[in-house]
Amino acid sequence: MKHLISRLLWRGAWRITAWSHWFSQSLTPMGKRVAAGAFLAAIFGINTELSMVYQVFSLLLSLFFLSVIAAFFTRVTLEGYRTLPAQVMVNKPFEYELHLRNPSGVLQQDVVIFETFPDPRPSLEQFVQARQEPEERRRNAYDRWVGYYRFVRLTEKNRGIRVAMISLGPLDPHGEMRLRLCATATRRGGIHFSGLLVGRADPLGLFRRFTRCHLPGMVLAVPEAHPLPQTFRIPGGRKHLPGGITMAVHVGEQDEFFALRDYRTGDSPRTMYWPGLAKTGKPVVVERQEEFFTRHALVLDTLNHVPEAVFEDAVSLAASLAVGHEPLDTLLDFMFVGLKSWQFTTGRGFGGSQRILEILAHTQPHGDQPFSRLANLVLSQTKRFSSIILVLIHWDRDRESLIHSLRAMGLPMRVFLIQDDQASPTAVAPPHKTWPGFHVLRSGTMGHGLQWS
Amino acid sequence: MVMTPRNHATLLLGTAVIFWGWQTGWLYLAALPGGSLIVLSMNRRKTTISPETYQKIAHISIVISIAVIVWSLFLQKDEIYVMALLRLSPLIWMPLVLIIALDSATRLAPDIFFSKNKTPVKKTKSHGLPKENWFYWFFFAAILAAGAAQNPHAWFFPGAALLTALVIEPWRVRQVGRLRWFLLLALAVAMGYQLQNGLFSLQRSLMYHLPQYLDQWFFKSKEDTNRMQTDIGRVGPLSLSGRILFRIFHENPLSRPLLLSESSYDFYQDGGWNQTRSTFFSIPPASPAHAWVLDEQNPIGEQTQRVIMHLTMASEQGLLLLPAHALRIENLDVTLLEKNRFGSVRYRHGAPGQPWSIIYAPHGNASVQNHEFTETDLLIPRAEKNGIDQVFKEAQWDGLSKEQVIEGLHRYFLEHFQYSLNLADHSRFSTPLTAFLLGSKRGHCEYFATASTLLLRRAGIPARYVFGYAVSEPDSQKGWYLARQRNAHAWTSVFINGKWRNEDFTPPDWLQKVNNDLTAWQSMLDLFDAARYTVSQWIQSWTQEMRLAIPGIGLLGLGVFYFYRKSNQKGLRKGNPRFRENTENTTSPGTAGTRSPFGAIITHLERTGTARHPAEPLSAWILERQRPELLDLLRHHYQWRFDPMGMSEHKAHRFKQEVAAWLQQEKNLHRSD
Repeated sequence: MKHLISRLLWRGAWRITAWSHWFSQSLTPMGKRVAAGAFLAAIFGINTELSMVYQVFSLLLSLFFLSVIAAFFTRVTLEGYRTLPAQVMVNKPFEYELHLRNPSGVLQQDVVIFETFPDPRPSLEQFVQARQEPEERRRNAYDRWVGYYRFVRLTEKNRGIRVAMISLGPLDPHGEMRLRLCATATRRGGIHFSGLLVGRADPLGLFRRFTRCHLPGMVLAVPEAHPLPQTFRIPGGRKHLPGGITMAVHVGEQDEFFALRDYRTGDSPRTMYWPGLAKTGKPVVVERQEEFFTRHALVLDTLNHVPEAVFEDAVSLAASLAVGHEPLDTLLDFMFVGLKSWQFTTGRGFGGSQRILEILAHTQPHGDQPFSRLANLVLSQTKRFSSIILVLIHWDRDRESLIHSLRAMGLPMRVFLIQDDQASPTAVAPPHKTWPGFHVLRSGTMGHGLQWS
Repeated sequence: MVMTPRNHATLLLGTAVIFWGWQTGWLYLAALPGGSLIVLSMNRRKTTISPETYQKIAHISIVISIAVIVWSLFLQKDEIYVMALLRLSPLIWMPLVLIIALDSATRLAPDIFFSKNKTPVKKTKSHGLPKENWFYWFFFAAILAAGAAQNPHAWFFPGAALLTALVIEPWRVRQVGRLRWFLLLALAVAMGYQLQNGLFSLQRSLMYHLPQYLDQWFFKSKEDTNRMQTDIGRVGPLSLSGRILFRIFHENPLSRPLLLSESSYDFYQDGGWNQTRSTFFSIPPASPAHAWVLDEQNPIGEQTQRVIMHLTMASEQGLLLLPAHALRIENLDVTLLEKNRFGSVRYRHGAPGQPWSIIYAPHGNASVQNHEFTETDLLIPRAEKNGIDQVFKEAQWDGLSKEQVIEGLHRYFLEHFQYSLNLADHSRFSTPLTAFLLGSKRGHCEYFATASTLLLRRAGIPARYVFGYAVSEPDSQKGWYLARQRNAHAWTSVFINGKWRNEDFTPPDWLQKVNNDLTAWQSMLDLFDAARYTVSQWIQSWTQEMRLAIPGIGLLGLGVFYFYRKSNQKGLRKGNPRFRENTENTTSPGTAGTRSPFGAIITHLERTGTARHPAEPLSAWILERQRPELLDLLRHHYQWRFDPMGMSEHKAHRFKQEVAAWLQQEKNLHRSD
């Protein structure tokens, strides 16, 4: 019975969103006013002997009806192709190009274009599962039961992009036009374009008729990266390495030439600079400085049921750390996301941050898996990196235990815990007040820049 | 000077407000705000209005709205409060409109009126809706309010149409010329006019027929013609439709209106006339075919006249319209004709569109009504008795002969009463009819016919109420007359000297008053109706073969048009070099993965493992499933789906083979497991 009701609600929302979509695309703003006016006139003028409002209804309905009929004679056909960027950032407007050609011998005016996407409406399964999301608790009982807002939110999430309607200028017969369009990706992952709806309103300007132009395309939306604070340093950065670390491949300590000086008693013969002895006749030793190359690991915690905003902020923070540290002389070499790990050498010159962003673009929460599995994975590979950054979405004993273990190993570390404002207090208090390397960030404040003490 | 959209909207809103004032009779209220809006539309605004002022004006509007609601609900008694509220609604939003028009900002957000925060609402370039959008909504609100006027002006529809045309004009598509736009608009307005006429008639018809249907449904009454609900008791103006109902041909020119009666009634109660003991008896068909004799005793002679009726009959059953003293009907193609003692002649299963003839004796003494009367023909309802008695005493008709009473009644109505379609409140009197006789002395034909019937009965003269049509308006063709819906009429049938005689006590200027408000639009619609009538006559003249052939020809034409369109589209595609190249060398790309062979692999993987999340890329999913060997096939799949140039036939064939091989390999593996 419950499933049947869910199915009915889903089916209802499916229909309503379809009508709403059709209504908003097919009617011009004035068409919407005329339709609304006719609707109101039908209500107030239901009794034709009480008032003349029914005459307004007749007039507006006739206008609308003729517009619909006339619109069927306003077919517009255009050809074109789209040039999309390979990658875009979530919530950041991006531009792309649309090349259009008028294949007909008629001047085309007042043409409008809508980008179309594969049907973004959620499946029944997705609709039912979304009921368990924490945001549901914020809604009233009726909203929770009907779930229309949820359907709309899932639809927008699946579509993942906002593109406004485009009004074209006059397009000459057999002429071409290049448009720069602005769009904004609203979620991570691949965003597919399916084509264009090309249309024009009827002569009265109330109703549009469209022709579909098949024009597939795809962009990858990577997580939004925020600028890091100027004072931010990844723990264990190198010091005084002449020549840079562009091609550095070592892990841990490495000796580098620093200066020559006279031999002093007790210096190791291995440090003797023999050419210098030959030239000057005095023993000269090479002074070397201990250098420290750091290979960072980034751990993104995806193993808990948290509000979507918290998870997205965590991914966004991970992306910020991955691409935002470029001015610093460090290497982000390992990444643990969920129950998987990746190794890649990045830092200056390797451009591995793009790959990190691609991985993060497809990251999904795995709330049903225990955190201990990720902890074991990280602990098993600690020898392969020299510092670690953890982005956590929850705080509990398992996570505390991992932090303790890593600190016991003497591994330099920074921990970021993203928390929701309305999150219930955890059984274990986060140690951010006692440990400077532990930061608690409030979800929803990322847009103002990553600021922490 | 080019007008900005905002100024255009302001100007039209000002005009709509004045239109509202004109229609409602409150021009003095509308002149100042409407005029101000028009003036503002011609100037460039420099005033900046603070959010606090907006909120104060919103408070004023709230106070006005409370006053208007209280007045509509409790103080006024003349009409339904919703209509009063709608009519007064511009008073509520007028202050808001004026303040919006005065402000120089181009955009406005609704929260500016209701923000509890005292700090100024942020006004940015992109904040809120453009002002013209607001004004267009108020414009339609003003038109609706004008439509709710108590005594609407006859020019309401043309005025509303003109203003609406001006509002939608800026949205005109430039691709088509102004002439085409105007023609389409004119067609829409004409359609709208016809539609509103139709709606009005529909409601009248529903109000008339619905009680009969309900009566039939609930009480299983077999008769649907024994009740006539009048408009007696209605308050306010009575709108009449100018729709043409039927046409007649009369041999001789009509010197006075020809009364065609539908039925007479003998029992009056609560504004409705009824037939008591109404039983229909069939009329035997005569020769030649489709001829019916109504009165066998009176032969057709030189004094008789012929009327040809052109009236679309109801397919199931209905009542015929007959002149007094009708003798014979010819060319009436019905299966059954019946009549009752009230002169109602009912047909069953009429053939639509066929004209028929009636032969009648204008000065004869034959009557479709039986030459008898019953006690009911002398009955005065108890509720009306006092009023009738009072009038009778005042007129001093006691002791007069029957003819003198009839003559006195004619004179009495002519001297003291007026024909009117606008009826006043009758709540001070016991019944609407008493209010008509003793109070207002104004009413329409139903009042005159009902009052005269009851007054005659008071004088001891049997009388009945008759409903029918008065035909007098000549049509364009000589000898033809037309009857509109507004020519519906009621009169009295009086039993004098052993026979029933028609007496019309309605003041003779009623027809002129009824036709007074026929508009210029009506003339245009009459032209449409004449064209429709001519076409229907032409279609009626078709032979059976032609009737069968015409739809076939139409279908054939549609088919030819369809193939022509199709071939044109193909031609266009062939003309496109890019398309030609694709069709020659490549396979058409599939759509949404449904046609790609890779779909079978996806289905297989989903069946044998975890399903793919909708946002998860295929590549990531495949790698997660530890199937790196599929990446190559995936690349081909993407080419199949997304490459606008498609995939070459050879490559597509190889792709299909590889997919099939992989699936076969999987099958074998499963078998061996």
